[in-house]
Amino acid sequence: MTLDSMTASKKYAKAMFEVLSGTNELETGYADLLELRKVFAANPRLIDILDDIRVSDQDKQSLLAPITENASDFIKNFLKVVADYRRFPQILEIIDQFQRVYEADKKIVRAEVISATELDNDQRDRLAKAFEKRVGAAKVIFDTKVDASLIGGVVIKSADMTIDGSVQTRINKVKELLLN
Amino acid sequence: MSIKAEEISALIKQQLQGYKNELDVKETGIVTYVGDGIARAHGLENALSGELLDFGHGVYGMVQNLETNDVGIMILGDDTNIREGDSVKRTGRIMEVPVGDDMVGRVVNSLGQPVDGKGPIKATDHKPIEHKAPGVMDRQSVFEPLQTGIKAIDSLIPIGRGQRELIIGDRKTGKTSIAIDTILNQKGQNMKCIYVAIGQKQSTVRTAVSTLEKYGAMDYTTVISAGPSEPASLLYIAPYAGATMGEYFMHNGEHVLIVYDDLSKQADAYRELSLILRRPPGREAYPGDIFYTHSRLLERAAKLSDKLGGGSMTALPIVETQAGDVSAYIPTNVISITDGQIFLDADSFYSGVRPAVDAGTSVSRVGGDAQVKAMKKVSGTLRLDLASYHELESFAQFGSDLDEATQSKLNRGARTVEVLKQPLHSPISVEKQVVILYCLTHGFLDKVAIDDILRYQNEIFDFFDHSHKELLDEITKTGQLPDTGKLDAAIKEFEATFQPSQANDQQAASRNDQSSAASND
Repeated sequence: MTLDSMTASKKYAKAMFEVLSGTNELETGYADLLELRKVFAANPRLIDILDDIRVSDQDKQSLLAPITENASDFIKNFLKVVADYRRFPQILEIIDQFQRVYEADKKIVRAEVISATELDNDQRDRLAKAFEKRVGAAKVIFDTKVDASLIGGVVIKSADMTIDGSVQTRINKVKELLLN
Repeated sequence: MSIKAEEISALIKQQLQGYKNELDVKETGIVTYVGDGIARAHGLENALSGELLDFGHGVYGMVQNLETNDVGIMILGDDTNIREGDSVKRTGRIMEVPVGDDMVGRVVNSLGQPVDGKGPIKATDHKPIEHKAPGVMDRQSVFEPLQTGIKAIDSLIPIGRGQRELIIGDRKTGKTSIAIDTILNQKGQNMKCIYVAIGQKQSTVRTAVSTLEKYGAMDYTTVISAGPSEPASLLYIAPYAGATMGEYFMHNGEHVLIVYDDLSKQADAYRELSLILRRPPGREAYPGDIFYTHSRLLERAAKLSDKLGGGSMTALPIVETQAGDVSAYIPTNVISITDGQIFLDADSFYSGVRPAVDAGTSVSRVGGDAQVKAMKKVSGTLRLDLASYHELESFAQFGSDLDEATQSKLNRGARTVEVLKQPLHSPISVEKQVVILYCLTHGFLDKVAIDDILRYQNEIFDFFDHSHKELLDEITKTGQLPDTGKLDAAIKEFEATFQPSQANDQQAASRNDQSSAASND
């Protein structure tokens, strides 16, 4: 199931991205989708109800009414399609995938930064610059974490790449060399 | 004993020379599923099929499936410490095993790690387990014999160096024994042997290793063991690891004998992996590429051209049948891949004909060219003798009045069966095989009582060793049959000294034999 829903979400995301870039509404559409995501993330029960076949379509419409009232045509259509194909359980994933497609297009890279001590703003900026250059991104969004067990240095994890410059890893390498 | 700080620091410095202070950049993925020796991971967009992945804590995996959203990985080792959400790293390498002379005499697992408690292996080289078989121009036709030391095989189904000969039969019909005896007979033949035990009970492997040690065969043998308690992935890669170790010697111009015991278990392990990896099942639930699994493995056995050193790798794959059914999927596949098969028959095994080689259905497609000339001469009529014997045997049970010709055929057949019997772990050199088969085909045994044949054989071997060594040496050296006059004279000389067990006259004894032969089988 996980595999299926992921494949489906990717298809939805790609289609949405193409529609939005076709009508030049990419920025507004993206912002709307992020808002929509907040609504659904805050009310997980809403998804359950919308996916429940025992609830009539009318009730579902009225539930969605506050959202669709002031929404753009794009969001209205999106919710209709999702309802028609019963993809509400995957709606968060669809929006996440859309975000990924959007960021890949805008060359925005998200990364998790783990350091032994808290980084100050200057260090962060410099790290971001260096990382931007390395991966060829226009913008880097860091999510910082502190892990004292690294002893020193930084570990950057992004998508499917890990750049490990921590003292702990270096010590482990020396250990391996000595043991062999 | 004093600690010398200087020496130690010099040693540490030397070991640390390889250390480079650089960033550790790795492509990683996230494990989304673990179970049954299989893991799935998201990410790893650039992973290659067959690439080795590092799960940490010394556990590695091999990429099997590349799918749209994730990769399917078979775990080579213990999967209990891998959790969902763990990261898995690309290594950029493919699976390798240590190769070299240090592997000889050792018992290792599928990864080349020693399991015999004789300390670590300091291998000089590592080679990938999947390697493309030698091409057309790299080979030459098989022409040197591989002596198994088993009369029934060397005479009827000769095997050449570089050939692939399947040993097939039901459970408990002596398949492994034939393979082990063949390894024992390679002593002093300038052969390296590799015995790959796939899914065999550890106790069985232990017994095999003890046998090899007892007869001094471990000096030139490597045993690779992937036991039933190990994950299916290790059973699956074991034969490839063995082939890689053998290829090293082959490419060095040496001769190698490799035994895969047995490929049906490897096929089962691969079926298990494939089903868990959600590959579509085919016939008997085996995956679609099960034929390729075996064909690419067996194709690696070869006789290399002289330009490449003329080394060879002879493969003896073993396949187990269920109730003699050779038309099952795996047996038919492997039969079609190999250059012949030795079929072991459960009925004759239980009736005491051991090795239970079924001469009718066993063939060797290329070994005939490799057979020693002398052996070819004496064994020419054997197959026919046996066939007509088995045919007549059933008729003879009903009729009491048999004409002379039929009598003599039955007589000869019974003796042929008797001569081809051979006890466990007692390989016979080719020149002696020629002598006893010469006695048989030239009618010297027709007068000997069936019960006496084994004793006759042993005594004539002793006699030749002591009194006519030159004849044996001639066969070994030239490969030709010595002058028949000399040979006949020597045998007659021996017969004069041979004492039959029973005091009865020869005539009576032979009559008894015929009737017993007719009623026995």
